[in-house]
Amino acid sequence: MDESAYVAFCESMMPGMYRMAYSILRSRHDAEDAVQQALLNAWKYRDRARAGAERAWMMRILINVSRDLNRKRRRSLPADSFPDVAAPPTDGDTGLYEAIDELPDILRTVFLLKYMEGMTEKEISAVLHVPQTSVKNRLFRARRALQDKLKEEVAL
Amino acid sequence: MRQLSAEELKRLYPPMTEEFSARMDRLIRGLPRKEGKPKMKKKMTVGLVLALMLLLITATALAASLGVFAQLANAHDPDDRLGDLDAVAALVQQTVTTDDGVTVTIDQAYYDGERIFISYQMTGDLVTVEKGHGNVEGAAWFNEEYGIAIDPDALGAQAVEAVQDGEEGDWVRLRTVSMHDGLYLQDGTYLDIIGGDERLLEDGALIGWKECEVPADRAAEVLSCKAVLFRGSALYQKHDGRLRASFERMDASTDMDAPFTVRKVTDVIRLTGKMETDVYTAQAECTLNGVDVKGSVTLRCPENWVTAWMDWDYVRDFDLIESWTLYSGDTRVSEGCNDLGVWGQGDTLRYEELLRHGGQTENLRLVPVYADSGEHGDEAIELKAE
Repeated sequence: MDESAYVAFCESMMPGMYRMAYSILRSRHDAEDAVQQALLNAWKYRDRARAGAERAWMMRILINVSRDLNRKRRRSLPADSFPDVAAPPTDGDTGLYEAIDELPDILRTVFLLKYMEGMTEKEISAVLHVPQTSVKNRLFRARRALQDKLKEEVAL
Repeated sequence: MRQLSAEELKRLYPPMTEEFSARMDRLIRGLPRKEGKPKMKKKMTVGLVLALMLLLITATALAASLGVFAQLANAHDPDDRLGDLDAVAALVQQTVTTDDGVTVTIDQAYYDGERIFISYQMTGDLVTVEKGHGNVEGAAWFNEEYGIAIDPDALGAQAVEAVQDGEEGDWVRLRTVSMHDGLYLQDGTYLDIIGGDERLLEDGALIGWKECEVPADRAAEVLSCKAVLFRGSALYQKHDGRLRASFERMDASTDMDAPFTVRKVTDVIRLTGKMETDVYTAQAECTLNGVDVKGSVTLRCPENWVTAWMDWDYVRDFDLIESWTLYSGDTRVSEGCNDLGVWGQGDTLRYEELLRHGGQTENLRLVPVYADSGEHGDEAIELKAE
């Protein structure tokens, strides 16, 4: 990817990266740190991005960085010093937000990559390094868990 | 039924601040540049070309003689069940043809009382392509902000790639015939999909398989089911240097059913087992069918195990049971062919497992695999028929 393409690509990815980082880290400050670190890592290893799979590659870097930050934070801070539940939304459905936030991380990430960020199952499979059947399965579990929490059927 | 959209989900999360966005913009524009090394192309020898052609001919002839499950099987994955399914599934070969010449054949089916597996083939004009340039009336653009990624193996992918490589404003509309993700009973009950895949063949045919869950209250000896074909339209346009897309599902009146009947197999066995250690008690309940063992292990354990599991990342730093491996006697049979998930609440963890048995169904044991220390054979759960 050349310089101008990389800049345009990063600019287009940032809003989605920020949302995903926030969903994992539940803090604006940490989500900003994760996005910044992911952009730096991606630049360093940009030759490894496969043509046509750049979006999955970047999201994978972001999720890895977010997970590392989460681990470091847990090691270095007392348990009650960071939020278990993210701040409620200012402009959305609080009940829906809480239902999604309460999903196990392993399901929430797949759910949001698919239904919020519009990634294909093949892309998610590349992001998380799991088979596509696992992606389908996690989506199935996430939808079912969400319906149980919301007490209504959900169409996506 | 509640309809959720990507936009509604995005509103749940705070947007980036303008200050942060500007800071990142400065960051990526100021990154140090480096020179890339030119890559050498490898030359292909005549011998290599001939060998590849021979391989292609042989593979094509072999594929034609296999069932669809077997054609989709991955021989390199020891936990792939499709080869086994090909051997035990009933031949259905129920075909329907649409008015415009799309033919769907439900090739094979297997039903164990809890799940239905089918394989299928679709031929005909599965996609029609219309191209244009400029404004498009009525489009509801999706994911404009970072563009659309195209699966190079998808129907019509070449036409979309041509737009991606073309001029600003170029568009292509793909009208497709597809199969719904899940299956249906004839009365309309939806059977949600657990797994499956599709593959586009070089001749334009599409083959696929599905594994769907039958609700417990709808299980029967014989099930009348249907796969449903629907028509959709996907519009892709080059906009601001990226691809944007607008999807439209045609009116449900254009749907078409591909009905089939499947009988429950008789060789299904319920297996249970228990284990108690100083740390936890475990109870396993599984169903063994012709291809796999599916079930759950419920663990009463310390609450910090549950807390660790509910955090996807933290599990790496904590030595708890991560999964279960299936053994037949002393032979390791499967490490799990699908990730069904782990559920935790209070002092209980519930592992949902799906393990290929590959025909080895004697003296089955579930051996716990710990995150750090690996398998603990001394904590195996012996599975016995009920």
